[in-house]
Amino acid sequence: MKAVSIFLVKVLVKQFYIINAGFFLFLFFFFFGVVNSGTLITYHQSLILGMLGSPIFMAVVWAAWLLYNVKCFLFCTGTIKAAENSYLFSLKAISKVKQLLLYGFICTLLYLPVLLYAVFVVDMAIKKSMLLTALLVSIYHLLMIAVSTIVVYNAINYTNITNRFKKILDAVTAAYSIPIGYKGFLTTHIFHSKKMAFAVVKIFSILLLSVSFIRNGDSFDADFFSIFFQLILTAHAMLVFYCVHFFETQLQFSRNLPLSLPAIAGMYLFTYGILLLPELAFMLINNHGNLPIIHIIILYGTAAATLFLYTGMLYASGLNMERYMFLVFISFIMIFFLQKSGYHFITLLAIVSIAAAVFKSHYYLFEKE
Amino acid sequence: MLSITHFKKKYASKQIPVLSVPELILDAGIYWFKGENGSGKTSLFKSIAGLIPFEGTIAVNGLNIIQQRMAYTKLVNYAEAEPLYPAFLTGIDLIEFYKQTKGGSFPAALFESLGVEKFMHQKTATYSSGMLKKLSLVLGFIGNPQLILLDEPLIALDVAAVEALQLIILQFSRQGVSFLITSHQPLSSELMEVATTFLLKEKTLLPQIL
Repeated sequence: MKAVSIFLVKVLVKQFYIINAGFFLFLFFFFFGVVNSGTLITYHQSLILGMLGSPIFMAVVWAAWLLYNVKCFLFCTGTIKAAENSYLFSLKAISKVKQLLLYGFICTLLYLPVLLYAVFVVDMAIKKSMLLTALLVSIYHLLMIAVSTIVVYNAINYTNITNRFKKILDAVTAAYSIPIGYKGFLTTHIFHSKKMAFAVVKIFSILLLSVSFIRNGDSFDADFFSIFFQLILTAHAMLVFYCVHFFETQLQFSRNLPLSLPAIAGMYLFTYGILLLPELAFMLINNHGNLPIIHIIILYGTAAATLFLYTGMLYASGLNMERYMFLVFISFIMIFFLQKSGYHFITLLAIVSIAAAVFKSHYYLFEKE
Repeated sequence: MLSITHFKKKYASKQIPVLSVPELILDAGIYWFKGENGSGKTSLFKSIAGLIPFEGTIAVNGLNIIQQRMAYTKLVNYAEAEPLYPAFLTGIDLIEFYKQTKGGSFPAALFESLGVEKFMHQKTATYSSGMLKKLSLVLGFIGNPQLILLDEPLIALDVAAVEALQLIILQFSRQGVSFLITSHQPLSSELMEVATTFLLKEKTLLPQIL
């Protein structure tokens, strides 16, 4: 059992944290980096108290925990279903109880970041004599782990259920399918295979925009919004990674096609333009005179150009996540100060020029490591 | 037809040399590239096809892969050993994409003899390895190529498809299209007029004297 659990930790847990390193780095920065170190504890205490005091806030947090759990078990089922991991089905030979214990252990490790934060929530609830809330939060997390354990167990043991579900899904998508031009390949990939990541990024984006445009709409703070805008773009770094990774693996054959460099750059920009439409629509609908319309359009262009800059950085870093996140962090600082200068159109032009230069100089030299 | 000079290929991450070809000039014809697994056949083909970077110069009919990339990629087609396509695309999506970009003609005879029509409206996620191979071969013949690179074209194909493919290669070859083929399986000497066989050994390319 010990050898099998070590093996599963390598295949599922370690891979999950490597692939999602950018996502965790971003979360860590968001929760611990944006707040002054002196007020960090007070900030989190008031955040947890807010959570315990407001059922709506608590519901939002529970939804976020649920999404994270879905992300964890989808990663597991995706890995199990991958052709190269078909050997994992030999786990069927282990008894049901042992399998459940094994997968429970793996799911707990994947869920650990949420679980650690939940410990502080429960601790605070007990200190405030909110014993029922503490109990409910504890049960909720146990349920989360139990659900993902069962999902992983089913993925290993009942492959037909997945196939039947997939067949229905394929039939539905086939009925509503439209021909896809190559400009739509990347967008389709995100909607087809990265739905959950897309949903998480969009929920996060809309939450941050809601704070700026709705909650603080009467006293709109441009500096505050600028930080939020950068955080939204940083969150999109993950989607950019998925796009480039997909292009360089499953669309690698297109390097043998007579597609010019501007056409490929155009495909990436078209994709980012589509992916950023929810943010554009949200800002236009909820603006109420806080920002001139032209400024919002420039922000939309800046966002698409920044994602294109991330694309060039991915090519420059050889799709290496560590190097990529470092470059994203550098660009975060650079663009923040450029925007702070107030020359928004010049900022847009500067990002487009740098992005085009980085992309041009690295695209044909790229080879997946 | 094909000219390679000072070609060097290293693995990107570790700078380990894979293959070195000081000079190779080939006239039109069919060429068979042999070599053990890992000898660099696929790396050479991917470099000629423009899929991966390399050091040196590669040109086809005087068109340089770096300086005249668009015109070059219209002349050079490539069918991979283990093709991988996006799961959400159908065979017809890919055929249309290739027709749109490569232009030129469509290999109707190969398309029919390999039976691609039967499954072209299905998503590639549902394809067997043989079906993927057949689709990749049809894609490899689209346009007006002067050089077609076929990396292990015979693997995963049924007996009838192997014969049909070899006949099409012969037919295209008689029209002036050149082929570079890697294959661990023997090529039919009755159907294929192989000009030269090359052996990839000790990180270089040697003409094999039969």
